[in-house]
Amino acid sequence: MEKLLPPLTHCSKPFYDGCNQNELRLQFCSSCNTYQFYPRSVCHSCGEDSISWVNASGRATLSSFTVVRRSLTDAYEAPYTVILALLEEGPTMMSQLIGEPGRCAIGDFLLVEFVEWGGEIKLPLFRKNFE
Amino acid sequence: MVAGVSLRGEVAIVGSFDTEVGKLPNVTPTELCVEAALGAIADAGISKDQVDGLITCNSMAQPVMYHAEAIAEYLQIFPRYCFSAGAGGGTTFSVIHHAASAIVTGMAEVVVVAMADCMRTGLTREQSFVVQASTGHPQFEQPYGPTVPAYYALIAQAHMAEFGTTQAQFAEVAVAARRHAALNPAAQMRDPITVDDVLSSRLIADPLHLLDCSLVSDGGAAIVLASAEKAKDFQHAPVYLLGAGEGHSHEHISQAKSLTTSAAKESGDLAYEMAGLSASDIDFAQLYDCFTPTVIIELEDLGFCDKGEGGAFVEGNRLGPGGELPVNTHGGLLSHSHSGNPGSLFAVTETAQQLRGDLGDRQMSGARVGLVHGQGGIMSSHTTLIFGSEGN
Repeated sequence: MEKLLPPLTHCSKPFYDGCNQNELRLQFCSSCNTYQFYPRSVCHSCGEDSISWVNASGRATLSSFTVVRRSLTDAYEAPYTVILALLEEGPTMMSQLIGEPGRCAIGDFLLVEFVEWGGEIKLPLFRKNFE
Repeated sequence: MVAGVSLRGEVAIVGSFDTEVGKLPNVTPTELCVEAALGAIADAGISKDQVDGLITCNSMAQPVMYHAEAIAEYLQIFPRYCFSAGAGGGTTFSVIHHAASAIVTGMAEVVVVAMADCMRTGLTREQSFVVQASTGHPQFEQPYGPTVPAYYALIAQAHMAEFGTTQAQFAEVAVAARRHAALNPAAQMRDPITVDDVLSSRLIADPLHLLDCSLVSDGGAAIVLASAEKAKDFQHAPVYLLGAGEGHSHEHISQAKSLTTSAAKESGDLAYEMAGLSASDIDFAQLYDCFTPTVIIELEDLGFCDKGEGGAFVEGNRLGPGGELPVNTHGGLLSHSHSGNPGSLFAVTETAQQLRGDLGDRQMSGARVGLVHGQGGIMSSHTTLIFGSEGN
């Protein structure tokens, strides 16, 4: 059994193309100077379509986490830590924490890493950043 | 906010029915839904031909393309108002809001809300887990392997970090639900449990233990609604809708503006305003308890205690039988049953029965006003309804 892979659309493909090049890409609206994630066809703040892709810093803080003990499917090996990462640029994204499950606390600093997920797709995961 | 026509006291529940719950291997979701509908119609003391409105929700175990139409056809009723809705656990409450509006505006006179599903025997455990987790964003959440308990665990963890809420306080919610269920012969799980039992049950998604999680069940329920004017002619005492409000804040938990304050705040404010009541007027509450932490957050957002005080509020059997604020008096999703989207309709039938005053062992003395609150998605779509034994 395979892990779930993201369906690629014209909105999500630039994001996952970035991951394959070890770049965390966000959409930025030049009309209202807002970053957004997940990617959309229009700016979620002002509704304009003046959106471009920019590289995020990859730095985040941990908003919340849970150690999943009963996995979603057999493709996911429990335990694993599902997190919400608050990106330095403002948006929040779901991800997983790399490292020993549960060795983290809300507010920890995180740094992105890109990990092979199958189907030639890399996903952005995060590791605690001790810098 | 533009004030519309107030629904206060204009519509009443005139019939209610629960099917058996638990493991029901010899019945399909469609058959259960039909059984529930006919049961509620019989309880109302009318013939099915008097029903001119029907609302259902689709089954996850046996989805049907045009669900409400299929149920109407099965029953051979021919409503002029008929639809199937889907807003997760909030569905049952939001459609009552819609049904009441339809009755007040003349779209229908007698509306049946009937829902059932077979999450226990109609799906394998794996299917049930995966189909429910598909509430997550397919491109930006699901690939990381979150489960439904995991989504709610993110909320629980944030509440613990922000307010010092403890796992033992979450466990109190499960213990109270089980105390209520022990009084309800229809409930799926009736053996008493303690806080220690909850804490020593296995972790599913930290900090949630098995006994912090609701059940997986087959089951269905239905109610009949009519105008307050018409309701007086039915065989049971009418149970009046006094307030209704909704709040919708997000779908995906990664997009929530807050993990610890929900749109129950908005839905509750609207319902209280319509009813002309406040939290202190509520005799009992049925609060959506897919996982124990949701009850604590709902208690806060609905004004039963201050934000951050929910953990302390639930201590000392305050929510249990005979407590200061009995919550989920049938046993809730934690101990009565959870048949997916229809699961919360049992909170409404229980409320109707409590306010009619004919519940035997678990009848609350002097209960006049009950609040029910449902949420669907991951604390996403919220509906609050307030019911009373006295109308306008």
